[in-house]
Amino acid sequence: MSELTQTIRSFFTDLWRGWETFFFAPRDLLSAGVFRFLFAANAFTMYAIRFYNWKFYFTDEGFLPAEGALRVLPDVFRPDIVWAPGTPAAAFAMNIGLLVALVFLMAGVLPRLSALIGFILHIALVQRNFAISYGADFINTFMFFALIFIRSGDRFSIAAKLRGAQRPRLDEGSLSQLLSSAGVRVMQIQLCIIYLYTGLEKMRGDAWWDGTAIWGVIGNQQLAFVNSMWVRDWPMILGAMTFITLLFEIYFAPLVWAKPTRKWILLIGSGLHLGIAFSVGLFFFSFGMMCNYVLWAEPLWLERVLRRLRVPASFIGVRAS
Amino acid sequence: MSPSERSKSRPKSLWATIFKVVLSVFLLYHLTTVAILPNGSSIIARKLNRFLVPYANPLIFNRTWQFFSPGPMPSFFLEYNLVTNAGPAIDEERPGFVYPPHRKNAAFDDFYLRTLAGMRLIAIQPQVFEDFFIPFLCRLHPDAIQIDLRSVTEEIPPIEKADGFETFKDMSERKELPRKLYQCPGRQFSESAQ
Repeated sequence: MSELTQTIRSFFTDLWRGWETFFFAPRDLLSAGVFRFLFAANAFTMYAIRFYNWKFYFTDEGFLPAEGALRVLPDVFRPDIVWAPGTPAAAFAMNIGLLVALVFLMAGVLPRLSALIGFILHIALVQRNFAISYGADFINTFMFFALIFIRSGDRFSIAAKLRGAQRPRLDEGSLSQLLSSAGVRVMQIQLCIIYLYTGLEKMRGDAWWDGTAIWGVIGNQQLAFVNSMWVRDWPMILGAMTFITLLFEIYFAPLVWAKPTRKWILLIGSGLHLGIAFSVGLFFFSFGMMCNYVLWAEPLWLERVLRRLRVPASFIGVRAS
Repeated sequence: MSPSERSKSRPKSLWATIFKVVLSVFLLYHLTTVAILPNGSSIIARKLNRFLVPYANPLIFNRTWQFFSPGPMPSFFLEYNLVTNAGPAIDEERPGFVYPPHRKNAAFDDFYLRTLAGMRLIAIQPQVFEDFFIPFLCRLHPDAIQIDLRSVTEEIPPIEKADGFETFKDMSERKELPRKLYQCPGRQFSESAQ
């Protein structure tokens, strides 16, 4: 009996250690810093463009007045708590606030607070007009959320530049370190969930199963950028692209965690997203997804790349040993 | 380690452990939510809904992930004519307006993508469509008394049927839903017109 107890106890001890190592082990935050910058730059551009038509999207001038904001949602998706802007002045202020928060995030100044403010304002605006939100807005929600946890300003930031050679203090076991490590993991897992569901949902469709789905995507006149009619002479390419997309999405999760396959799956993902961006114009969505890939980058490799790109060493910041 | 050092490090490590446990509980809850709710119709989601939805809905963690699935959607737009005091504005078989207006050039246009997404979501909900979208169209056309509208899809036929066509536009198969006449709220035909 005591042996059984011992076995059970050691099983749970090992489980906890595994969990603890995975979520809370200290990590260099250079990749988190670059992720923060890329996300904020992409989101800033996206929301600056959206701001150009803010009255149409967020006031009664558009096709969705405030009273209809939640009615476009099925019952099961309707939130109990809503902080959507109710007046044009509030909508304007929230848009400006969001853009300012993104500028701070880009610079890495008060990154957690900026992410929190950005997250709250972003949700408020999505709540105000769910109808005009698309994939890029929804993945931004998760990136804002993850960045609330991560002390992402230690590296690749203005803050790092100002701090100079002073080593950032992120004590092992401190609240800040634990939250930072967990935040990175939360975003990595989220990306795996997104890809897995997208892949599994595609398996339900005949067009993905018979290898012709890409034909329908590039042929959609409302999305397509260029006339890709030439592919009709290359049906094998079409089939290969369809199945590679499907296999990539379903197997992303297991393959990205295994070191030997990581760079290959991220490379395929980059190709896929660049293809989506330049064929059907979903630039913000594609770049938004791709900036998460940095979270898997080895800090030393990333640092070498940044130095080769002539990013000032003071901006990159000091490596946590 | 001296006794004084030990006494200093112990509370810190205890707090770290407590915090790890609390954070772990939250992580489990959050990750369960975002992993289960995208398949909201599953038995697991239906059983756990009442625990997960109050957290997920306000923070928009309830999204389904369906990019181009289960299959790519066909083009979808609205065609409509205005009915004014002078009668139908244009030949009823050749609608004068399209929403969202077709792009003149295939260039990146965030406004077009968002308008398209919004119109698609609203058009599949008849009551919301009638309550909000029709009044919006009426505002766009101050002289309209009624809107004569139909939904149109343009589907791309299978690749095997593509021979002889130069563009996707040429080969797309147009499908029209029945036309419907909508009244602009608060507007009536003037007596002289009747």
